[in-house]
Amino acid sequence: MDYKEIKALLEKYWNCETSLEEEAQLRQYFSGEEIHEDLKDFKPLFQYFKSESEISVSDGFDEKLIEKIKEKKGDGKHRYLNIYYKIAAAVILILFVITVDQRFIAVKEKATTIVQDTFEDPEKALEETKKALLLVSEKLNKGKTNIIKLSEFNKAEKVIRNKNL
Amino acid sequence: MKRLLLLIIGLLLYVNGFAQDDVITKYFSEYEKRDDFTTIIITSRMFELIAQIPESEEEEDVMNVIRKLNGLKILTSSEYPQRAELSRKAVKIIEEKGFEELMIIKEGEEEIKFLIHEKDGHISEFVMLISGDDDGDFFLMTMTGNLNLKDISRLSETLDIDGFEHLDKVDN
Repeated sequence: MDYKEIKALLEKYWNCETSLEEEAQLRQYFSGEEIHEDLKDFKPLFQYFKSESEISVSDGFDEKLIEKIKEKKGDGKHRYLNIYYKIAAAVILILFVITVDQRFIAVKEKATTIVQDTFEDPEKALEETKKALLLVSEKLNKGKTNIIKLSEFNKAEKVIRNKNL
Repeated sequence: MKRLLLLIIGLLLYVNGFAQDDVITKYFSEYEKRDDFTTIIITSRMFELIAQIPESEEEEDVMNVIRKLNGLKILTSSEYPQRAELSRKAVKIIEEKGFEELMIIKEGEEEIKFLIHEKDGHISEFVMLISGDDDGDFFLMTMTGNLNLKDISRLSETLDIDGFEHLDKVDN
């Protein structure tokens, strides 16, 4: 191949317009001995392309790789642990949601049916509370003067029960 | 993962804390709805409102007690046919739930029982049950909060208590 031809090919190459065959021609030319002075600068580049393209994996590489991948999969201890944790977390979460839900339902029901203030006016509620407290207070004090001590009462109650039986 | 578990347990306990109720709410709610029972309910919300009422000086003692209350509930009846039976049932239920008898006063047919539930060294719930035979009134009262019996019993010394014979006889 003469200088002109190669020069034209190179021009095409730099414009990314060469076919695979033409590129092969270029590589062949630059791997040869007779290279025109003007084109010597490109020699290392095309030699590099050539040498790189010749590199290949060693024999049995695919088998080894597949084996390694399989090994990783087989050692699933960590994975299983993770799954157990996930299951545990899911169960706890479900239980938690159920518990919270029930409690909120219970609270809601109570709010609508039972826990309703008898009084709307705090003053009235205060009066009633006072009455209640005073009643307790009065009865407690009555108890002080006429007290039946619990332990004694229980003893007496036992005696009476035994007699009745 | 451990931290998450602790967090969840913590949350469960926290939710549990909401479910604090008095004995009437827990065990006698079926009677609350009946026509022959009278119920008086004062909730913690109402106690918050009460606390905002300006107090007069002579009421300081009673207000001090009221401020520590969380709830007050009264269930009473003079019409329910099996009042004596209900009283016995009530005592049994309350005692089974970890309440301690504090004092019993007998006045003729009438028996007054004081029961308390202690939590962390203070009285968390106070129950007064007045019971008699089927002719007498059934009266069950429960107070929740941080209760001090000394303060309560002192109230009748400082205040005139005439006219507070029975709460259920007081008109609403």
